[in-house]
Amino acid sequence: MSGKLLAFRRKEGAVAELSDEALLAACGVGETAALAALFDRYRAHVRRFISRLAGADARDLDDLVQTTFLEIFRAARKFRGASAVKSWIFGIAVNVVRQHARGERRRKAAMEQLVSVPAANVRCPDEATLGRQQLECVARALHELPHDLRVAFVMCDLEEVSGVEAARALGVRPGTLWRRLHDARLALRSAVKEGS
Amino acid sequence: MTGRERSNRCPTMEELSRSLSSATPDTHIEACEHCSRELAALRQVISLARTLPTPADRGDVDEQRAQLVALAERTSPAWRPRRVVVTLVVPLVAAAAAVAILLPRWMQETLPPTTSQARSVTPKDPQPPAPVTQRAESLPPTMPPPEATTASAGSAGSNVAPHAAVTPPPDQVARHRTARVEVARKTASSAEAHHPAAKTSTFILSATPPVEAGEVAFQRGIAALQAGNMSLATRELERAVGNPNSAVIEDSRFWLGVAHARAKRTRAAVDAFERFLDHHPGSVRRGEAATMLAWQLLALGERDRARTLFEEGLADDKPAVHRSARAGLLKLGERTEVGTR
Repeated sequence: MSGKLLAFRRKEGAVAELSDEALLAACGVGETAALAALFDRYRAHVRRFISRLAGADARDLDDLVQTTFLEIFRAARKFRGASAVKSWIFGIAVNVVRQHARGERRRKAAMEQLVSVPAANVRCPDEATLGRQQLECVARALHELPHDLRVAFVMCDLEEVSGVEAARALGVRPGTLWRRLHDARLALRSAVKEGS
Repeated sequence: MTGRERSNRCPTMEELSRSLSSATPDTHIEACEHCSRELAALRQVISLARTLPTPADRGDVDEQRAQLVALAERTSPAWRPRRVVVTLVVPLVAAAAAVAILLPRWMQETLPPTTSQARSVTPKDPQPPAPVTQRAESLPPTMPPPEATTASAGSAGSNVAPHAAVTPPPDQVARHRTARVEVARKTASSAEAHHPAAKTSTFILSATPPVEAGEVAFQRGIAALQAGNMSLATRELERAVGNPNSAVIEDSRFWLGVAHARAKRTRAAVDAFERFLDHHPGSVRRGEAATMLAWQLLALGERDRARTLFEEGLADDKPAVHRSARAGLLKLGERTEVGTR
């Protein structure tokens, strides 16, 4: 056993068969084919997660997804397997979104988009209009949530990452995460109640 | 419990929220209308949030992947060490090679242990002595005048300075430094021509030519000598003499003798000049040193040795040294056939 680190060789069909952990390990030694495989595997998840978290438009969303995967590539060496790869990736996406959201510029842009939607006729609301109103209320309330509460809600309730996994990925205690999740749910519940 | 309002047995909102993630259903919540309603409201919020639209995909996934891979190639962890090797290690190795090749040449040019090198270090045209005239009567009869003089050597009753160059040449140190910087500059240009990557190291050579401890002490000693602080001058010049490989060892030994003589430490001056003559028999200052030593020996009463050394000084081609040696011989009571130059 020489201990020499073998380069990750991309073979036909081999990458798709590798586990997430193996792909991350390959990323850790600079193998871009592994990154491409991870991108194919998690792009949709990361895109949806960031969309819910940041409310960015399509172009910004793709930029954030790309930035997230680049950060994954850079930080792959630091992955120690303490949490699942998916939640670890979400944790990186959270940091990317946090940096992106600083300055409130993106949030304001998202709010302006919501404001531009024509108001529903509240005097004779039909079912479709009521549903759209509630959806707008949820979207607005979600984007008005503090970042940590929003992250907890999106990660646990929308992406269905377990509380323990989410807490590990975010580097917080499970109790803290539960508190944030509960506060987020209550805030959204109140917003929808007031809106309807 | 059939009540519509919240009872004391109902869980708090936090407990309700926690039950959302619980796999086991709570019997109270299922039976309680209030709790069921609250739980349903929470579930509705989550369901609504899950239906929030995601911006439409642009559909250029292959392009995005290719772009991502291209960006990752630039920041690849495996690529970084290669860049470090190219940008740091290669120039350092080239610079080290340039220094290893050129340093011996540079040291050979700057270290003057041999006579020929000493001549190149010693100023060919030393600064003329300050025209300080000392009346012989004001000096002790057995001590040589400590300063140079332009008084007529043939005039009776007046002592003549033992040699003409007791005042340190002011630009001597600067000449040493200039020579070093010049060598460093040539070294730098040569290194750059052969090893472009060696620019950094050669810049260091040219910007900060190495100054040895002996040279520093010599500079301090000369400065103290010029300032009249003979105690400091002898201390610093002795320190300079303590560096036998110094580029200015010859000058240090000579000026140490001068400093001792000016400090009227006759025995120490004799020792210093004798060491100078032993170590640098071919020095351009040999005549000066011999004449100075002769005056010291005369002060100690060693007339025979003084006479021999004065005669050696007479053969020196420097007029001031010649005059001083002739004055010494006159002092010894012996007329010389050599006329005043």
